[in-house]
Amino acid sequence: MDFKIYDSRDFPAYLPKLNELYDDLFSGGKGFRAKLIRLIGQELQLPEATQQLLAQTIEFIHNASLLHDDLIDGSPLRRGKSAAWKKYSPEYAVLAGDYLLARVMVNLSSFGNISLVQYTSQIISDLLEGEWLQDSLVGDWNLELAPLDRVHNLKTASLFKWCLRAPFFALQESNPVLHSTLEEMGTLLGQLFQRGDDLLDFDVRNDEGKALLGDLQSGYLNSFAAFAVPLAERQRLVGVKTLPEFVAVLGGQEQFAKQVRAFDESNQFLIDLYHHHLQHLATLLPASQKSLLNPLQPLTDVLYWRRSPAQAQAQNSVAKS
Amino acid sequence: MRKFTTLPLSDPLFETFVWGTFSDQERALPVPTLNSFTAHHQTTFEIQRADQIATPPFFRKWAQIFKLNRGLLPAVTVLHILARAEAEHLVWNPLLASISLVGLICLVVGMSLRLDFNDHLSSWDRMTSVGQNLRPLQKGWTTAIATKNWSLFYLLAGAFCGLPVLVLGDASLIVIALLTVASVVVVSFQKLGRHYRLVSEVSVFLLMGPLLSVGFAAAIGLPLSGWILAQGILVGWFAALLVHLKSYSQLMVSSQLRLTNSMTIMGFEKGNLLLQFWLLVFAVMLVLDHLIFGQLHWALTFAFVGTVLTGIGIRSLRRIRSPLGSNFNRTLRQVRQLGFVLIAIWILESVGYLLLADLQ
Repeated sequence: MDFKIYDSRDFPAYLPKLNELYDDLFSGGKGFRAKLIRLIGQELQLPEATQQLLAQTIEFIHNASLLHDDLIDGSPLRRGKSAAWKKYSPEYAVLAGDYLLARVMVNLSSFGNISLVQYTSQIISDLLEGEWLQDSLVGDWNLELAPLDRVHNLKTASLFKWCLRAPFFALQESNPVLHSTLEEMGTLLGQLFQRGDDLLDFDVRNDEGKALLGDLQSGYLNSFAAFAVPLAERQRLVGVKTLPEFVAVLGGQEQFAKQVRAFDESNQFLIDLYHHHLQHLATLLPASQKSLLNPLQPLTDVLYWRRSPAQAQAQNSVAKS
Repeated sequence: MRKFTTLPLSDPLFETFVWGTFSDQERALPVPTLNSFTAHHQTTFEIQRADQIATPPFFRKWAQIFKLNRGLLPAVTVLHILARAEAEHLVWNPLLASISLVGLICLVVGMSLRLDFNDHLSSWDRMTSVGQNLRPLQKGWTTAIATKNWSLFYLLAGAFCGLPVLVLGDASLIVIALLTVASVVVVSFQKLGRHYRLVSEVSVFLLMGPLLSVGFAAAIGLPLSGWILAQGILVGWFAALLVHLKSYSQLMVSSQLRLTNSMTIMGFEKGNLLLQFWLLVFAVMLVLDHLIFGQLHWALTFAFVGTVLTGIGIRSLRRIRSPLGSNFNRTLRQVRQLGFVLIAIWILESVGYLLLADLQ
């Protein structure tokens, strides 16, 4: 399967640094969302050109958000390299992000599906709302999970929702009940992805070697910290620089492990709910589209438990048997 | 393994699940959602055995379901008017006063239950009450059908209490009764409910304020006066503050649903200013009321306490940075409590009048 969704000819050759910036940005990404679109597109038998357009769209939106996100958070690294705002300039990072979003609208409007354009615009607007709200929470150490869920639903989950719903819009399928189910599934996948990602910050299931305590050092309390650290201890998080310091705030390694288990158990509710919606989705799809459930089945394993798709398939087989 | 059911709003079974009539042994607890789009089209229920749902002790459970604390404001107005009437040796009818008070509390409780029922049916509670803040209906302590029936019972009881007052009282009461019914309808009915319409904010002000004080005074045979109207305006203003605080706490969801109320019109910053203004005006009105109609030492008391409390409240409100921040709901709760402290002092004043009347 060809996951390449960016070609230098997509952008004007005469703009200095633009193509170089995008080459840097797009290389090294996992392209997970584009892969998801492709898997869904194939099961729904979308034409190749449509699949390519959708895959490109989601990667453009995602990468635009990364360009802006890194600048807002002041993150110096992206995918192990200098972030665009650091390597080029903050101005270029903003403009490059804006340009990607503009290309999304140009490409999608050429496709001629007004529902898809409208929905995509809504998702971009949600994404920016989430970014805005998240920024308003920086330095707030007394947050609870519920407000973080609202931010993550706008910022992280909106792209997962788009991956699930956009292929149906492309098929001119606008059944609101079907879309509601996909919307809820997208929210759950986004929350699970975010919560799994937040655990990486504390070196839990961190096989990809993500830098530790990035959120805390940016002044942002993530979902695991909000879940695990009692309110009375929150101020002790200020100035925590290393994982052992964080573990000490929780009361030691044993307590840390206990909180991780409790967090996993609480997230099992979201996983169960996702699988319920998956079953409900089966009742809404015609026979010809039911194979769509296969790629959607292992997603909670991949996104929360951070298993590879092969591991997730194996896990599912064990669970079924 | 948890048991879930998802039903589109158009499904014939949906009504039985949302009303709680689908089973005697089980409760269908609606799962909160962050997506208004979903809420408009379908609901997911978690099915639990009714006997396995954790509930607090009997009195706490029913006090929360019936929202008995909502009866506090009309009781304060009534107490204040009666205490003053006693102190000034005015003639009033104790039987009609008792019936009116019971009727008022029934109306307020009935309206609150009706709003809960509407919020449940329209999925408003699924969108606004998530995390730790679930309502009794969402927790399965009772069913929507029971809430609706209780609401009807209380509204009818309120109306029934109003009948002897109307028969025995002044003719002007008919006008007040009609205005009250209109306000109850505006606030209680789903399409016109308080979350949806600016006019509902005005209705709450009238209902809990001037209509209540003037209506009650007329019902028990007291002569109407500027003072009685002023008491109504004060309590109505405070009731409207409570509505604004609620709307502000739900600003994000209301805004996403494009609902129209003062807060969604004004937005986050100006809405915050409105709350500061409302709190300040409430304190100033308390002082003016006592300067014009009351005693100087009470005016001075309210001036001192009001300055301190509104100062604390305004400072806290100005510190709110985000509608999702940890201090957001805490501050709104604090402002509410500060308002109630002023009301508590007002109650003390009433008790003082009663004691004084006894001594004389």
